[in-house]
Amino acid sequence: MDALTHVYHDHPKTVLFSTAAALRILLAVTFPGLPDLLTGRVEISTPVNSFKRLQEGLFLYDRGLDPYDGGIFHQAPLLLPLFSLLPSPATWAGRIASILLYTALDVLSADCLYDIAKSGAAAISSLYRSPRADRSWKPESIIAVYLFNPFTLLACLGRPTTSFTIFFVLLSIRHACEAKITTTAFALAIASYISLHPALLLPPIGLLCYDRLCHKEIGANIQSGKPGATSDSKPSTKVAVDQRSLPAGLPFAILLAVTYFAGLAFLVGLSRFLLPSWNFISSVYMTPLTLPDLTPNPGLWWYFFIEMFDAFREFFLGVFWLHMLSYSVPFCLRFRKQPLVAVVLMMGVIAVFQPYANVGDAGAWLSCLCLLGHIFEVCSTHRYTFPALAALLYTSLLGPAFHHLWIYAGSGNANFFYAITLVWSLALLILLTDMVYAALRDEWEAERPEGKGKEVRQI
Amino acid sequence: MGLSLICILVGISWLLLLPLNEYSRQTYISENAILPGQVHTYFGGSEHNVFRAYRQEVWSLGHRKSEEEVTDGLYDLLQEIGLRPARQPYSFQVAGETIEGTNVYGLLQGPRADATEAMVLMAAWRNFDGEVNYSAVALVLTLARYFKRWSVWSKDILVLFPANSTYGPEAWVSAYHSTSTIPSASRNISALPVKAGALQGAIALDYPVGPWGKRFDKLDVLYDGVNGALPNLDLLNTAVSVASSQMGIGCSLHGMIDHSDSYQDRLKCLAKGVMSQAAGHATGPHSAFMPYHIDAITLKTVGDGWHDEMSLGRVTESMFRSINNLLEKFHQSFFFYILLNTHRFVSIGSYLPAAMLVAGSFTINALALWVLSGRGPVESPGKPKSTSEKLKEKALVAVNDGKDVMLVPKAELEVIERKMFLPAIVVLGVHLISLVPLYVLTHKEKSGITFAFAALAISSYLLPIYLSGVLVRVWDASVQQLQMLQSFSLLFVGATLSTWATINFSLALIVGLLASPLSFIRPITLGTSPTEPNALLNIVHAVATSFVWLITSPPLALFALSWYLGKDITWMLVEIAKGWAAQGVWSILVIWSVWWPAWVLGGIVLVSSIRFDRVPPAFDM
Repeated sequence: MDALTHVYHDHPKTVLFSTAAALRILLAVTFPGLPDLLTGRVEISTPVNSFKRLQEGLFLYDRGLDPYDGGIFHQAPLLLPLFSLLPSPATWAGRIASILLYTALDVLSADCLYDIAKSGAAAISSLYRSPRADRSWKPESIIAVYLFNPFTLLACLGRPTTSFTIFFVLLSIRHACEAKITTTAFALAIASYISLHPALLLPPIGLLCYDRLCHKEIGANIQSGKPGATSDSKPSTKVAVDQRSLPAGLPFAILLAVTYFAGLAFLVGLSRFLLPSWNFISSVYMTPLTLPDLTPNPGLWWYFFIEMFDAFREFFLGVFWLHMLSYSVPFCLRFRKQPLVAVVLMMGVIAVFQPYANVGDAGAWLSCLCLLGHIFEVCSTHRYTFPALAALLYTSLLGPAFHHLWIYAGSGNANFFYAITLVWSLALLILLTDMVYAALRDEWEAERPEGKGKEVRQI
Repeated sequence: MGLSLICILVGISWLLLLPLNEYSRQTYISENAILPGQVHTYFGGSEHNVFRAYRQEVWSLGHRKSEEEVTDGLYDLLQEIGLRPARQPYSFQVAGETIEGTNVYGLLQGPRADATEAMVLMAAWRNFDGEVNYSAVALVLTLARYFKRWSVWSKDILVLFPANSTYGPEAWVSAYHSTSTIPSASRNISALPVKAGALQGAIALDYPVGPWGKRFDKLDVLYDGVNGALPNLDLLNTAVSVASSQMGIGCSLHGMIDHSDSYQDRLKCLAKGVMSQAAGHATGPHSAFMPYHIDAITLKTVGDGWHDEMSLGRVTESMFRSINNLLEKFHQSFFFYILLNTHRFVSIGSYLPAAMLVAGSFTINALALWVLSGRGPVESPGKPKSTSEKLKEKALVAVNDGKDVMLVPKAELEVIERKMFLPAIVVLGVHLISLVPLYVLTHKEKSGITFAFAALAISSYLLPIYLSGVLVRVWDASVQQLQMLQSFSLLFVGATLSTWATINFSLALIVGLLASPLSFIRPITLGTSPTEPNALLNIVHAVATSFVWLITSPPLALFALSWYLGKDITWMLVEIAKGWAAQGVWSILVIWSVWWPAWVLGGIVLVSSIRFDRVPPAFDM
């Protein structure tokens, strides 16, 4: 026991990564039917990320046909050459190979998360230092939550292609935390190329990257200009910074946008090079926009559009997408001082409101919430956290049961499953709004320390 | 805590209200297409002679030496009638036993059918009690010959003779849907050579009477499926209305021939229904069809009366004409119901709150314990309370509640930081350990199963004591952590049982009621000073909870069940193992992987304050 804790303290990352990988492979080996079972679950696989549909696309691609002709496959074209390198997942070796690939993705994502947490960007930015900065979670705990989160585990075994999106989004955030403009933009371009909606993360991640750049600049200024200031272990938020010495905003934004769109154009061009036609554009990117496939998923869109008269379809598609779009910039404005909070909250909005929602995204977002661990104490005084988590537990058990009653037993109907997806989204949204409250409260308390511990009243 | 007690009490009294007229409803036919009893039945007259001949034939088949000759004989009879006959051998390997047999069946292609839909008429060679089903098999053969001459069938009819009432239909229906064609260690089922369309309904006959005949009084309608799935209420209503209104044959449920429609009898019928649904095991040849979303019932002749085999034949004929009328699958009526007698039922909206209240009481307690676990100061279990008393006196805070001002100890208001890692790991660990008894009891050979069960029962009682010792002494768990442990465990039980209530209401209700004392378990506090005002109450509570915890344990419940059924415990354990491996019954999973871990965790909390290594705190003060 002591030896174990000793090893853990010496190499926490190695221990966590190897246990997580071993657990995933062990699950896949001991229950050979499990990956295929999970691949078929609507909660994990949606029309735009299903591993089964990827196989269909691969089959057509390997035979030199247009993979988008069948109308089943809606995933990014560059995944095809990658997966055609793997043996067929119908065989034992192919299944293990695919699990190994996704395990590697999870481990790499966790590594990104580790660096994000290590950078301290969550609590300290160029404009703000949280009064609770010393309460941040340890990076090891955050990656442990990510790696052993049941939703992440299920998603790893179910092998949806959105795991790639999650990885590239985290990679982009990590580079943003390191203030690397081009790689940030390019990683985000890859994520958007795979599943479109990370494009909404461009403003907050750009803000984060700019902020880290400023932070670096200030740190350099303090170190070079004022040697006395470094002895002050807690640089307060009121440190006077010469605004002129900070990097200019406009050239930064232009550089970021140009790199992002150039990356996107390059990826799309490369895809066209592999495929016989431009069909893939409409198949991959119009599917989330126009929602032609209404297979149930844990999101809020499918039921609404099943019930809808066709005349109103375009209008409500517009409304739903406007709603999604309406968060990105306001979050950046309001959380100007805490850019990583804006990024995490936007990830939450996407996980809940995206047209083809899945538990993999929700699980990744829940783990990312731990990056904001320092403000959890403000949440829990709000008292909704435990009921919300209990509701998540209830819905993750009731959801599959109601789906079974509807599809297999025939004794339930679509309303059963839809009701549960509503509760699921509600619980996630309670967590989201709770985090908004906590982040704002933290900011407010930094301004007015005398208000700490007092109750909020509307006046 | 008071609230959850109310929940449980309301849940129980809710159940007791259900048999009243105000809370139940008269059954009715919901689907217009069925038109029960609207056709004239022509089965009779010379068909009786045909039946007697077949009965003689089946009787002589029953006295052949080998099973093979029986299946060959049935196969030939089906062929002579003009059906497309086929055979299906199957075998299951469970608890060191082999269950094997051969199903014989034939396809009657409906003259107006397009091979997309089919109905099943079946008579198991041996009925559920193991008797040879002579008259039913003969009646099915007669009906098949009779149906063959009709031109009205718009669905195909499959005539099935499973070798056995439980495993034969299971093998046949799973092969019909090609779900387990690859042989595994526990099942080897061959594929069906002849198939028709989607099965719309199945009716099994149970009439184990030899060539001398025996007139019956009533038809017992068996309707429970595997895992508590029920057929659509319309099918049951059709059977009841055809038998009682058209043919004048009374029907009964659960073998209650003399149902007087009094409150007691209705409650008894409800209780029997709930028990058999909770067990989830097959109750007849129809049970295997339910998991495949095929509505099926068994008509069993009971009592001594004046109805003969021809009346049963006419009932079956009329029912097939009704099912034949269906335009779509049974869907209009209820799938979730509890029957009080053949003409009264309780629908899901009326009975589900009972189970939900019981499951909800766990969640309420979990929430209460969660809030409690956030209250300081951190203590370790079994320590004297004096330190905290002193703490309380020191810091008082004024709380404004409207106009009133209260002085509340500061320590009670502050939310302390919760250390959740240890409780979460222990809860997860105990749930993982629960797979051990499940695996052992479903995979052990028959000879060793009783011994394994006894060993598991004893270690079930020792495990909480051991774990609690480790937790408190080695890992230094605090009172708050133990509260969190109980909170997580109760939360999980509540969530699982309310999920299960939507699939198998009765099982969730029974396990919920048996596990409900776990909500009220608090650490036993031995040695509190007798001067304390509620010391007596504490002792009563401690004695009561530990007694209830000791007797409502999963192993003891299984033992009590075998005693109640009047069967050997070995027999019951083997039946449970067979149910798990061959029928796919999940009840045992709920008992071992939901109830058992919660019970163990409850035990850990219960004994956590008892410290054997030191003088009781009352004396060292």
